[in-house]
Amino acid sequence: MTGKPELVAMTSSHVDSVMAIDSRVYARPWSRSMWIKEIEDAGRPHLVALDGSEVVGHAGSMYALDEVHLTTVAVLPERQGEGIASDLVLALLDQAVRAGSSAATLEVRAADRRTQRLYSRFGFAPAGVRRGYYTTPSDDGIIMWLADLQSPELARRLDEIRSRTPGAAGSTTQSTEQGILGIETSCDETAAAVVRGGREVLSSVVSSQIEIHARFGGVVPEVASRAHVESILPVVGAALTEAGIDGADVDAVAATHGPGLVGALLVGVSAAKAMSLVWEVPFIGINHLEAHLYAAFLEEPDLEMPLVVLLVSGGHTMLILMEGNLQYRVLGSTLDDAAGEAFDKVARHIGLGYPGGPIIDRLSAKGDRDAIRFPRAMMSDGWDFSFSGVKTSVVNHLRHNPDTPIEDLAASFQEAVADVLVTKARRAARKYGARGLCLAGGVAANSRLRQSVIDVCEADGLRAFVPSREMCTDNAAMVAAVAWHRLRADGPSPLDLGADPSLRLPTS
Amino acid sequence: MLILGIESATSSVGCAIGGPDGVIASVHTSRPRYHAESLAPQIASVVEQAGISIGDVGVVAVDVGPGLFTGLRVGITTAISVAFALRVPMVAANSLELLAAAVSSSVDTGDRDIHAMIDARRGEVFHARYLGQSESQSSDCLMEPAVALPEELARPLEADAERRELLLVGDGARQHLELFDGLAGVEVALEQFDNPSASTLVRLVRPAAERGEFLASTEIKPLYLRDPDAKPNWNTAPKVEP
Repeated sequence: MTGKPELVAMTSSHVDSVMAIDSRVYARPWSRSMWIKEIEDAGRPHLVALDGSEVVGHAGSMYALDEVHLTTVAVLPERQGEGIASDLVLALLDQAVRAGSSAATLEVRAADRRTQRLYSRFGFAPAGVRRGYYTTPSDDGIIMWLADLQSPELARRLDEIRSRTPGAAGSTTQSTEQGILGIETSCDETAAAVVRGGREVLSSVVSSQIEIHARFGGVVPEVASRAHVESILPVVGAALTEAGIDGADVDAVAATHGPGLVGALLVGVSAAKAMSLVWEVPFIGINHLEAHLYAAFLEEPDLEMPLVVLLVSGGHTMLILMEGNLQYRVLGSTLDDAAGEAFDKVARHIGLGYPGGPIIDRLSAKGDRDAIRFPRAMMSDGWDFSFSGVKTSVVNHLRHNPDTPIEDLAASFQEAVADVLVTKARRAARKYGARGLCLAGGVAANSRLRQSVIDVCEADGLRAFVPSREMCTDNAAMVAAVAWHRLRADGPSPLDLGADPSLRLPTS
Repeated sequence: MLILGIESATSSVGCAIGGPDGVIASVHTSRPRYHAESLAPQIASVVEQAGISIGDVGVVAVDVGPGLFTGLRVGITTAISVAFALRVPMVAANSLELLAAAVSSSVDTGDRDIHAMIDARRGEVFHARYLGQSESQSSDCLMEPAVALPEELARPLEADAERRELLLVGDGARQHLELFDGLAGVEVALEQFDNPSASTLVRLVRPAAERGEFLASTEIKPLYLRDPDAKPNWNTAPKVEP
């Protein structure tokens, strides 16, 4: 990703690129002849967003009497969420204000809440519904109006949006970014990081509580919350020092607000809100699952979408189709135990200790993964997973064969889990035409799973994105990274945001 | 010197700005389980009410408990983070002395001592005793904060009240009113004194702040008075289904 795109009037030389974008984002794109007529019509100004010579987005308007109709706004899927659409709308409204228009209107799909949110930031309000206005898929159209285009209130609002979009259209303020401070306290790691531009990690500090919880055989919520309070300032302080940045100079403060342990989440959220209040910078509440998805972006500068992501951790097992920036579809998830949970439970049953994942991984290196054929549940059945069966099989196998070498048992169990995960991810990649497979979450540190993903991608001509082990486990760099995108797409979060222990991944 | 006080140890949450002549602005709300949602907007609002900017705050004061753990941590984390970001020192007070201070500064306590009690959930209370007719600084503490079963407190309270009568205060006393109401020599203070307040906090800590008795934000420790339930419990393991 490079700097902020430049907005220029659309000419016939842009038509091919614009049609290419439309073919990816619209079910019924305009034809070439329609486009030629559009750009020849002085009453229908169109803008394109250029990144170098590449067209990354476009938007159009139509003037009628003293009203302006926004006819189309489209951005390349992989460039969505950067604020390009917002810049385009801003530029069109600026034009309309200059032209003396008194009101603006547009239609948007009823199901497309995200775009409706974008327009409501500008002051557009729903005024009516056109039943069945859209086809493929069929949907109602919401008519939105923005009145008083010439009012000082609107001018102030547009200026506010302009100033809240760092590096907004027409300026090159990218280089003045200091970095976003990210805070992560959703489970048993207290973490803080400073990341610039959603990608450049200036510091990433993680204080793990693993040793504290190991004696209890798992994370004790109250113990975790107490440890977060003790660690939060030293960890944030270290992250700022390492980044060589004064807290008052950060661009924003972000914290994970769910999902996770509520008492633990509240420590990070409270700290982040307090700091944003004092430093007078935006606060951004971040979804932990979304943060895991963005961990890969910190190490792979050219992640191509669509992308199939296996998000596997102690609390989650999800198969996700990432269609564009900040756009996901959850294809499947576990019906019972999370993959990491299965590792912990099996390790505990064999008496291996906590956390189970790394121990089983280590033992497996010396074992035969084909020694025992454990069941692969739901292997050819939909996109969901189930790991409670394999866990029970391991327990039963050991009861009937107490002399099984523990290394073989570990390796065979690990193979069964990795096999199901990767087989389904591979099938999803084929079905949805994904360019690559990506691993995320704590279990992505597992050696066998990593190797399987790499092997499958090589066989299928896909790109494998396997983040470093530090980026797979909980950290705050991924929080600060996704915050950069979220701030551009949605603006800051309100200061009355709380923790949501069961927050879901926002889907498009 | 302006003091920002933050208090969230019980079911209520609040903050206040205190100047040399007393409380300049304060916000208190009682919305249990919404401390994290309420507190940051409250701070913004109290700063605005006081007509200052947050950068004018010279000291951050916080109630370190005892109280309900989750809410308590929201207040403490917020307070230490504000102090950290402002680079200003802190002062601390405990929630039981805040209860005693509030009642003794507004009610004629006569010759009585004050026994403060805060609901600790699970049928227990946090409690401590302070000398009446004082601003209840820690030197006037007669019985250090501890956790107890209220039914085991009733008899000793009545026995102590034979020597010196007691005024009970706090939501812990209210919660177990049937045990304490009617004990000889024991009276339960009005409901308006049930919860510690940020206004009392900024008044109570001012002498210490003026003497320069500060703590660094990293030195602030919550007063839990109860160990976490740290026995292995697989049902509460961090399983968060999407």
